[in-house]
Amino acid sequence: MPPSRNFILGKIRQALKTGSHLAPSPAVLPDAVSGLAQADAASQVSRFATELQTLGGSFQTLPQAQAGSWLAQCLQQRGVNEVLAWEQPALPVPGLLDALRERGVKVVGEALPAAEPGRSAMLAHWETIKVGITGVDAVFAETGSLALRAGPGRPRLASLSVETHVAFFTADHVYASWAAWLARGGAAASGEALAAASNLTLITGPSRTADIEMTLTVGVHGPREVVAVLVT
Amino acid sequence: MTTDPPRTAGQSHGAFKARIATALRNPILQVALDRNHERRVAGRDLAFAALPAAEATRDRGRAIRLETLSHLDCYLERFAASVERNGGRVHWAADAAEAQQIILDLVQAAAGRRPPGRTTPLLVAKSKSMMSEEIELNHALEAEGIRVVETDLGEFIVQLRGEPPAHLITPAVHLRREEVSALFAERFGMAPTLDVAHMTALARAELRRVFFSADVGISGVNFGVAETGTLALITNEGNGRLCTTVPPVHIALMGLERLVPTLADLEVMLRLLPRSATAQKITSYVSLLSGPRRAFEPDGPEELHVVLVDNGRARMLGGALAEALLCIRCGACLNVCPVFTEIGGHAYGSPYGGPIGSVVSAGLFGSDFSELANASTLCGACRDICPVRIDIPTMLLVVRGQHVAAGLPPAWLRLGLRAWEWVMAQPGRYRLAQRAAALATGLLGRGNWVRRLPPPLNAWTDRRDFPAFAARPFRDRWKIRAAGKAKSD
Repeated sequence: MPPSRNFILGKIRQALKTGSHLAPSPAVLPDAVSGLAQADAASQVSRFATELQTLGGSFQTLPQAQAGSWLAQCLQQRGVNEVLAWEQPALPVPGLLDALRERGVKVVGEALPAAEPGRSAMLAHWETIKVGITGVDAVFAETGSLALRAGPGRPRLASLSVETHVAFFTADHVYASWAAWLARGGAAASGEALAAASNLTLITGPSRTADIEMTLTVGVHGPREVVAVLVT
Repeated sequence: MTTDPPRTAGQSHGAFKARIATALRNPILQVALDRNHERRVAGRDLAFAALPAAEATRDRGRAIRLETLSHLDCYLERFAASVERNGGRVHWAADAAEAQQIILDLVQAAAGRRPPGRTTPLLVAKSKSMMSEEIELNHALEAEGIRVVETDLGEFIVQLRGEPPAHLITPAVHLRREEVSALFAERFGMAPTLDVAHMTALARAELRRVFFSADVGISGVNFGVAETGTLALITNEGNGRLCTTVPPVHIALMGLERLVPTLADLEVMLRLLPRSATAQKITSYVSLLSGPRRAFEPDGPEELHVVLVDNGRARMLGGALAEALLCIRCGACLNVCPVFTEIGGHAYGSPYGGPIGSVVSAGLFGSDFSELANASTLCGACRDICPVRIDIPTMLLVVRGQHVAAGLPPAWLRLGLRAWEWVMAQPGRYRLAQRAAALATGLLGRGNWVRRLPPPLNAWTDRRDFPAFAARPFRDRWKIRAAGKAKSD
C-alpha cells in the first residue's frame, strides 16, 4: 500500500472527527424526470429533433428499407468513399454496411492492435476518414442528446475523429432525458453497465467552442456535423 | 513525505495592488470582462429559469456534495476500489511535488509504448485541468524535456502566449481576435485574418497532429463517481474526448474532493454544472470513462491512471473553509462578481481567482494568499448564484480574519486602527475627533464631497469621492432637538 494513501486518508479522518463545519442539509430529491416523460412518443421525438436542430445538428426520419441508399447518397454528396463504422450487429438497420459495400464504399472499424507499430499506423489511417456511422444506446428528448457506449464492434472514434457523424436509432431508443433513462432504461442504463465498458458518451450536437471573443464556432476538434436518423 | 508547503509564488500587498492597477488600465480587458459578465450572467439566469424545480435541484446538489465531503474517506476508498476493478490504477499524491513526480514517472514509462524508431521528445496532449495549473505540472514536465500541448482552444492560445488561464471556463477571456490573429500569424505563419472560424480551423489542424502522435493524454476530471469508478468529463470542443481516447495512456488528474457517491447523484450535478458555467442545458460532450479499453473494444487507451491529489484539501476539510470544497468549478461566481468583472483572473495571482478562488487559494496555499479576500465588496452575489449555495461572503470574512491574525495587514492600517480604538474609547475624544473631521473635510471638500485627500487617505479618493462629514454632528443635532422638545412640552 503506498504511504501517501494512508497518510491522506488519516488526515481526512482526523479532519472529519474535529470538523463540525459540514452539517448535511436535509434536501428532498426533486423529481428527476420532467413532464416530458409523460408525453407520448411522437412529442418526445419532435422535442429531440427541435433541440438537436437548435444546436446545429440535423434530424431525419427514414423507413428502414431506404436507409442504405440514403446514406450512400449522403456519402456521394460529400465525395466520400470510406467510412469509420460500428459493426453491423451494433447498428439498428439490418444490412446497412453491406448496402454501402455494394455501392463501393469501404467500411473501416476493425479493432486497433494494442501494440505498436500497428496501433499508430491504423490510427493514422482512421484519422483521414471523414464520416463515422454509429448506432446509439439511447437518445434523450429533453436535450437532443445521443448516448453511445463503447463495446465490441463499436469504435469510440467513429463519433469523434470524423467531420460528419451519422447516428441511427429506432423509437425504442427514445427517452425523455438521461434521468428517465437511468430510472427506466433497465440494466443497460445501470451503474454496472456503465462500469463494464470503458466509455459512455453523451453527445449533444456538433463540437463547439466560444473561446475566441465568445464567438460560437462549430467543429473545433470533434465533428462539425451530427446527423441523427430515426429508422422506422 | 512532505506536509502541505505553502505555494511559493510571491504574494505581497504591493504585487496584488500592482496587478489590479494593470488590469484596470487595460481597455481590452475591460471590454472583454464586461461582455463576459453580461452574457454569462444573463445566459445562466435563462438556463435556470428553464430548469424544472431549479431551486430544489440546487438544494439536492448541495446535499450530494455535503454528503460526499462528510464521508470523504469512505467515498475515496470506494472510488479507488471501483477504478481498480475497472482496470484503472489509482495514485495518491499528498502534495504538488508528489503529484508531479507520479505523473512524470508515468509519462516516462509511456516511452515503452512508442512505435519503434520514434526519437522526438515525449509528447503529452492535455485537456483542461485546473489541478494541473495548481501543481504547475506543465513546467515540471517541460523541465524534463517532455513536450506538453494544451488542446482546449482557449488554453492552447494562452499557452502559446506563455500565460496562465484568465478564467476557470474561458481561459482566453482577456483577448480579442486581433491578439489571437497576431499570435497565430507569428507562430504558424497564418495570413492576416480576423475570421474566428478560420483561426479555429487552423488550431484544429495543428492540434490534430498532436492528438494522433501523443504518447500520453492528460485530462482533468469534473466528477468521479464512487459507486462505479467512473470519471465524468464535461466538454464542448471534443479535445477532452480525443485526449482520453487516442493516446495509449490516459492520466486523469483530480482533487480528492471531486467525488459524488452514485450515478444518480452525477445526473443531478450535471443538471447544475453546464447551466452555471456556460448557460447550456448540457455540453456537447459528457464523457463517462470507466477504466481503460477492454479487450473486446476496438479502441481507447490501453492504460488509465487516476492521480488523486490532496495538496491542502484534507487540512481545509477540518477548518472553517471546509465549505469551499463543495465547489464544482463552474465559474458563475466569477462572472457575477463586481470585483472580478473589473480586475479579471490574472490579477489574483493564483490559479483560482474570483470570490471562490480567494477562499480556495487561502485554504490550499495558506496566508500568502489571504489578501485576495480583501478584493470583495461582500455584496453576496456569489452566494446567490452558486449552484451549490456556498456561503462565500462568510468565508471571505474568515479569510480576512486569518489575514489580520497572521499580522499581515500593512503597518499604517494597524496604527490607524489603534488610533481609532483610542479615539472611540472616550466620549470626549470622540466628540473632538468629530469636530476635527468635519472641519478638515469642510476645508478640503466642496459641497458635500471631498475630491482629493492627502496620503495615505488618497487610496480612497483616487478612485471615488469621499463624503464630507456633517458640519454639525448628529449628537449636537440630537441635543438641540431634545432641548426644543423639552421646551414645547
